[in-house]
Amino acid sequence: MPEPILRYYILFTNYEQGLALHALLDEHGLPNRIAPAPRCIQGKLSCGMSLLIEQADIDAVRLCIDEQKGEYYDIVPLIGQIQPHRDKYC
Amino acid sequence: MSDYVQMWKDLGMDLESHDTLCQVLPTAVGDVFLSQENRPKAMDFWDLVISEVHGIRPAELIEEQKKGRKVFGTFCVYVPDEVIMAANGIVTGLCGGSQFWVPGGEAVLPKSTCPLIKASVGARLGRTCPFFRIADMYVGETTCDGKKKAYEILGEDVPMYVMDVPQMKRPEDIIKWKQEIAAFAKRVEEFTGNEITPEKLGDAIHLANEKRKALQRVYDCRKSEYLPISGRDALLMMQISFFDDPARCAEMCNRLADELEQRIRDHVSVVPVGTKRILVTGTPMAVPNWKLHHIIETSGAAVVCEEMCTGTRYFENLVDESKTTLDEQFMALSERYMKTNCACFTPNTGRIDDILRMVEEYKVDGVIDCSLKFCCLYDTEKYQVSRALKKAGVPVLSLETDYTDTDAEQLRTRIGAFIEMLNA
Amino acid sequence: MQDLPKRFETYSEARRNGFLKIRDLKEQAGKHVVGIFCSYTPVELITAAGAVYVSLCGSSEDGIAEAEKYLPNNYCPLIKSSYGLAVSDSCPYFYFSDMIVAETTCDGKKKMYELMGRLKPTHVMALPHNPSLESSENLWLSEMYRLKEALESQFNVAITEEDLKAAIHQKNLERQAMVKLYEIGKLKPSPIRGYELNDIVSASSFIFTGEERLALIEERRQQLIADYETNYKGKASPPRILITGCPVTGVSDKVLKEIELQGANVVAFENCSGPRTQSDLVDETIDPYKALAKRYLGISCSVMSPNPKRLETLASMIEEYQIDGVVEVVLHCCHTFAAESFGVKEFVRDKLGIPILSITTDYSKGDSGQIATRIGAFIEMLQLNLG
Repeated sequence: MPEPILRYYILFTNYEQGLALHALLDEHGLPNRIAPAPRCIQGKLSCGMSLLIEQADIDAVRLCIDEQKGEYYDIVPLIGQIQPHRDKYC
Repeated sequence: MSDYVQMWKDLGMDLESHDTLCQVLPTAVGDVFLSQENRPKAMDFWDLVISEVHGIRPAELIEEQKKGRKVFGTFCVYVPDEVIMAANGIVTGLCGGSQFWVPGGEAVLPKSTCPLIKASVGARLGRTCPFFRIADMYVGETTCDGKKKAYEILGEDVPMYVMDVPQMKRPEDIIKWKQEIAAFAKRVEEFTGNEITPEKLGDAIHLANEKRKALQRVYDCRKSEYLPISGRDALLMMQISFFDDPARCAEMCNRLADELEQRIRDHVSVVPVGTKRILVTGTPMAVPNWKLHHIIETSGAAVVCEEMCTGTRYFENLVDESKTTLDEQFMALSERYMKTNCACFTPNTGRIDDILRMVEEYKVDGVIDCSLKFCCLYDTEKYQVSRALKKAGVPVLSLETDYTDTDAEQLRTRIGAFIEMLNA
Repeated sequence: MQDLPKRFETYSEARRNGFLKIRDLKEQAGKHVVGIFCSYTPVELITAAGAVYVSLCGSSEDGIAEAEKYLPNNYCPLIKSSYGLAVSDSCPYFYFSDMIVAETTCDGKKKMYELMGRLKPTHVMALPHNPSLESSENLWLSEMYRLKEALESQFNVAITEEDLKAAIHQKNLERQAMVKLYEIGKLKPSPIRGYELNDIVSASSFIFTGEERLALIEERRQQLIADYETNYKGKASPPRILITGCPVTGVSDKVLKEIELQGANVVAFENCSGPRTQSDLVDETIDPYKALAKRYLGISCSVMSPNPKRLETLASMIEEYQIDGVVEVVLHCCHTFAAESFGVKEFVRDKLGIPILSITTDYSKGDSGQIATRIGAFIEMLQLNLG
């Protein structure tokens, strides 16, 4: 079993906000991927998008958000979220 | 906060049950899609759509309904979208691809019905799919026994129109289908209150062709020895194309194809050189059914083509755009749709020809012929498919599966052994 | 009940004796033989082509294991047994058939015929699935002409309008006689057992001339009426059962015989062995091809969608035959009848207020005990209802 990996999910109140930050991070060359927000951290938000950030990039992403005043709802670390051999489908 | 909860409530959905469904999706999307490396950047559009699958598009459809447009829910690639589009209607796919919905379908259908049909009916009856709630009319077809009879149940509380698909493909059957398309057009005109003119139908035919060409462009990229996109990502694009606005679908697929063509020029591949190339053929994979592709691609091979409804059957063959009267246009539509090769036809030798051609075109190393449980049509054709492939010297693995997770381990074993054999 | 007169054969006797008759018809009388599988086959065209037709539907476990080598396991037993007997060359009727005439009725048969076509010349008619559409009428009419041409070229004959009209007339007479025989079941108490009635219908497909079939049916009917007058009239009736669903010849022992052993009487069939396929005549006053197309497309079967006629027929038969309980028989993996089951149960039980027992089974004997128990409980309940 490979070591479970820690990743960060940036949550938003709506997808327009999410897409704006996605564009901003892209513009600054910061790796970020659109992902459905894991339900366990989504709270009262509607089923929706989040941005997935690898551990190595999180500091640069936070810095960029601070400097550019990027809008978001929350940033949540999660471990072991992606497991390609889990075989749990929906 | 984009409050989809209110929208779902207004649609009369079962929120509690829907929430259970929403919990499993992020896990599966993470495992299947986000576990991949080096994905095309243009996939971010589809990542967004799948993240907001019950949000963005349903909200758009409701907005259009407020302007007086009608939404038609369809289940099959034989239903001509063009007719609906020409009457300013909107087409959305309705096929269910999740085990979550199956028990709901089993409450009213025989257990020995295929999971796609059971899930579709379950999604409707359980009130957990916004698309089923939004559609003003469902359009079915007499393709297979299971669907045909399920439409009788689905039609109990929503306007339902069932097209009688011929069972053969001779000239008289093409005429029969043309007559069915003309009759359907009349119903669509009545229902939308919009006249279908040759100009409008011509525009719709053109737009649908543009969408087909864009999908074909992406598939053409998969023929390259530098495989620029995984089978999973291509499948997701295909699945979403049944739900999206056709113009935007064409635009996004073309954008993806631009990137893929650049990748090919740059010799960028998502898999190592020598990775075995698999053609998957058989029954459709409705969203969110990703099990087979995921297992194949996490077992060391790559899916390069889908000879299925969520694949080449959806976009191959264009409609002749040169016709100027409705009568000729209906005939042109019939001719195009009757070129699609589904096992519901007899005989259906065209499908074998398609598979053999695609094996060449996509440089395929092995074929996986997989049908959903209780689809006796595709199950029966396995015998002929494997005979033809063996004769052509192409390794083939025949499988049967459903929407549950329980056979994943067994599938991994069989698919793993098949790929091992291809590599030997 | 009287014993059957000597000249009446049971289904299995008729099937066995038919082998010799058909061999003689072929070898001595030089007749061509056409194998058929379904009530949608316009047999008048076969008769008009000077050929005889014989039903090839499998009704036993024989052949099933063989068929499963080629066909998926989840096919209905009727299709598996039919194909298995054919492919293993163990059905003399298939052996003697010069050609097969088949239709695109259900998924299973449709795909099975593709394989059968490799064994024998097989002409498949494209049956539309919504009979109410104009495009369906057009297509089915063109299928009549196509069958005519196929028979003509296969047997090198010309089908004249005169021959066809004569065949239509004869078959209509036979249908009327058959319907009158079914209507014996309306007598209360009924002098005939459902097991025998189903047997007569199945056995009649091994009698190869219309005249002979007609005479036998009529003779048996007269006997039954006489029997009713002397032995049944004025007596109490056991619970009266209607059978609905799939063809039951392959399960008649464990369903029909069992129902009657346990004290009820099967008096009506809403299936392929009943008036469903016989009550409508071919119109003799219009063009014969149009008349055939219209009549055959009007048959109610679950392969059609929608199929409202079935519920209408159920309602009228339940009334006319004074039915106390309905037994629905669905063969394993028959998707169309299985899918209609939900609506049929709802209709019979909730709308008409008649108890219904639904049996899903195949041609094996494994579930006989379980079915007998369920039938017993059902009949006991009916008897309690009747007081």
